[in-house]
Amino acid sequence: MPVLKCPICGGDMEVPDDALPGELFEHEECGAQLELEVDENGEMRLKQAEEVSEDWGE
Amino acid sequence: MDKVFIARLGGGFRSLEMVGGVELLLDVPRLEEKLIIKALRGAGFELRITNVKYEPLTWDRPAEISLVRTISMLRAAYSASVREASGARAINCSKAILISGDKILTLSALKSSGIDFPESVVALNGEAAERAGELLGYPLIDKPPIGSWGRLVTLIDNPKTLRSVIEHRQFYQSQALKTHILQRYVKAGCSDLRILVLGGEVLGAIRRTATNGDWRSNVARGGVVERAELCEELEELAIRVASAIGGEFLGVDVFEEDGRYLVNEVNGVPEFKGFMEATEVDVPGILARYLKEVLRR
Repeated sequence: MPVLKCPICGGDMEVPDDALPGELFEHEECGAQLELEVDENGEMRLKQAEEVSEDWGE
Repeated sequence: MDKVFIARLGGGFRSLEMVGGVELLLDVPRLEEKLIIKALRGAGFELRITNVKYEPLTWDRPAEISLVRTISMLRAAYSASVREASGARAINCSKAILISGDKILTLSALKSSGIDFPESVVALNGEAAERAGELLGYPLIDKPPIGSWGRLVTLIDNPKTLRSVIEHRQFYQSQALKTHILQRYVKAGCSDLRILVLGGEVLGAIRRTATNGDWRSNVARGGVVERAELCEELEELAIRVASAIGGEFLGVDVFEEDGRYLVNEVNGVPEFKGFMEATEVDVPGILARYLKEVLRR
């Protein structure tokens, strides 16, 4: 599993091998809600997730 | 790792090549979308994954079918609309997503089709909401027309509490969140039925029951799920609802009160992990077979 840096606390965070761009994760160490981002070269990084919007749901 | 399709090349937008197969449109992939990807790949589909948060949408057709699975209702409706105009079959179509995504439009569509729902009043501002409370009596439910997972859905016992809720909602910028649907509180034992419909057929039903002192039965609120038996009347009702909304893949939420069924809400991008746990129905597998059938037609 790839290990990425949490942009909030700087700690390590493992993401699953089948993780998709846009997928949300909670960093257990600091509680941050994070979003996986993948650039054009396939490089992965985590960024702070956008907040739940009024039209989110099913 | 799925590589995101990048539409922008050399400073311009490349015209998307028209191909067969299925495009999955998403923004925040959930377990459901990952299960769908696995099932579609397993079924041999040529699958394109488009994350609408990163990729611009053009009016070129990237696939025969665009399966719309964004977590944002507006993103879903806009994605479906663009793909429909490009000649793709959007599942669900933009109209069904908008109607199911706005509870006032849903209730109006149900009313037009003669489908029962709890007595409801629409109030487009706070003053009208206070009048609506007088009309309906208490207890009542107050909710905004958009939103999901039980967010901002409030059980109100008296006019004072209604006034507080109205006051809080006036602080939102969004006009939709200043809008109220007031509904008679249905005595259904803090539970409801969720029926999944695909292509005019019912896949099954679950009963969702509230826990932890909450009265809302949404799975997102911790509602527990169990498989529910379906009678002919319920199956027919769910299919009629799908027809009224005009959607192919829908979740239909129904209250059972004193032996009659009242439709509560319809979900245009239904989540189904709780449904799968309770029923053991392979929803992504059935969806893959359905899409194959659609492509064959």
